[in-house]
Amino acid sequence: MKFGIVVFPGSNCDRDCYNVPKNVLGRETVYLWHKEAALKNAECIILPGGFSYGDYLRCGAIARQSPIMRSVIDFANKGGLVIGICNGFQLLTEAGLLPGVLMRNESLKFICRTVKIRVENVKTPFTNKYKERAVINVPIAHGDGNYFCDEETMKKLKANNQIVFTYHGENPNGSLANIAGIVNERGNVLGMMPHPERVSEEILGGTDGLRVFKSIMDNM
Amino acid sequence: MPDSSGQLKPDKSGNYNSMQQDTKVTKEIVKQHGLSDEEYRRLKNALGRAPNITELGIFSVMWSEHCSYKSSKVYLKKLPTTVPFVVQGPGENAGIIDIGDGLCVAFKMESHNHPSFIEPFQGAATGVGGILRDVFTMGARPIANLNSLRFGAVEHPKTPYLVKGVVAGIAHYGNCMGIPTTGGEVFFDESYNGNNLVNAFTAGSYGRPHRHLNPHKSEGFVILRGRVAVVAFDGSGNLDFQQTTILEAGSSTVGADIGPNTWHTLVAFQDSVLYEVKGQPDEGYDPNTDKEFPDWAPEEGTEGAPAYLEQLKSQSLSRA
Repeated sequence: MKFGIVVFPGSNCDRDCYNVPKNVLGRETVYLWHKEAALKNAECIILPGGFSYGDYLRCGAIARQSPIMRSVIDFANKGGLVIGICNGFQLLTEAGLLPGVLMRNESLKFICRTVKIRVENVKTPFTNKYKERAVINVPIAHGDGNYFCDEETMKKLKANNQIVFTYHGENPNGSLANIAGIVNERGNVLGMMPHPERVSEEILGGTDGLRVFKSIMDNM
Repeated sequence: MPDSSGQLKPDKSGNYNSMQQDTKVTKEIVKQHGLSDEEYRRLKNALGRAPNITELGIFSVMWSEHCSYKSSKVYLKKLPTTVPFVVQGPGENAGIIDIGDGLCVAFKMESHNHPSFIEPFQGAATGVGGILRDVFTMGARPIANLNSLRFGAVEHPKTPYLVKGVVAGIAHYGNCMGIPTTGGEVFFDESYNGNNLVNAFTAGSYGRPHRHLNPHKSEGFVILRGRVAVVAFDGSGNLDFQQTTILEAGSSTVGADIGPNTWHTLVAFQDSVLYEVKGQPDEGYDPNTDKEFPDWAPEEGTEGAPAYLEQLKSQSLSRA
């Protein structure tokens, strides 16, 4: 039972993502440097938030080309668990592991605040510890979180129950169908804009995000 | 100069010169570099000779307020820095104090007033970037940002633009680095309206045509009361009718811009008040280096001035 946190130049939530499984849940956790290909036997890969490669070109577009991502893509295609948070979500769409894109927020402004999201699907390896349609408080901090895809893709997302989190009440960034997080068709890759790792300890203001990590552990 | 291989070769006297050292350092060039007469004397004393153009450039930067705190140092020196818990006092990138239990805090504070006034987003962002750099170059890991902001009056037209840009710049840089902004304070007061000046003109006054140096900059005028001609000239003193405008309060023409590097003056037809907006001088305002005057216009208060002023009035009116 081992977590691997990928570190790109510009990642800035890597330490938070490391802290939760390692210190809060006491699981073996390792950092995975972007230049290396080895996943060090990690059973769940976390692509953390931040500004990989300074967001140059497009968010995640350069990180997608790094050696570690070749291994992550292979790992995901074999059914391994991968979760991308914020910049990690953007990266997963760039890598083709998740459909759609994350556009600039509708307001064209960076947004940093806690929002309410609803868990739409609890039958995923990332959400099985949540109650059906639970509304939880999780912070967002992004400039490009406006999820978009074509109609065909949206039909598939809905038909396969791939929409895992939606914004509850106000939609902060203009995303289609209020999407805050989706899984791939197979259900082993999750991308989400909100930061569950920032609400996994009472001392940091809440534990609504901890069940994401606990759900993963239950699968491993 | 580097030769074709890109290598620097010494000149006849054995010096390695990568810049154009032939440029003669004249009094005017010294002024353009923002050095006062006294500072230039000190520089010559320190070197034991006159500086070349490269050296002059280096000193003008290093002796600027931004780099040397030449006018605020006297106040900063009054702050206590030698108590036992000060691990690192002034002189390094950031200060460090001992907070007990084997822990230290490194911190840094910096003003970025003028850059933020000119380009609020980038100005504020690089202010944050500068202090983060100063903290982590001390081997510490930045954990929190604070800010203390002063803007001009809330109802001042430029204030919303500045607030938006500064806040976005601070947020952007902090977010990119993953450092939270945990608090701050903000005040609005007209004394911070910045570089806007209200100039009161009396009819009949004559300001010698000039252009601004340090740097060449554009200027904007908005008339509040009265009637004034904003007169522009070409290099030989002929009126530039394209750029010459008569501003009259309450009329359809109340504002005009003068481009950078343009000879210009103001001519008042009656008692008038107007807003003048222009950029900050590079090295702080120095009346000696702020303006350049042409030889085709008489000096203020000289015999030829009144006649020249009358000529400007009728010429600018002939345009209207």
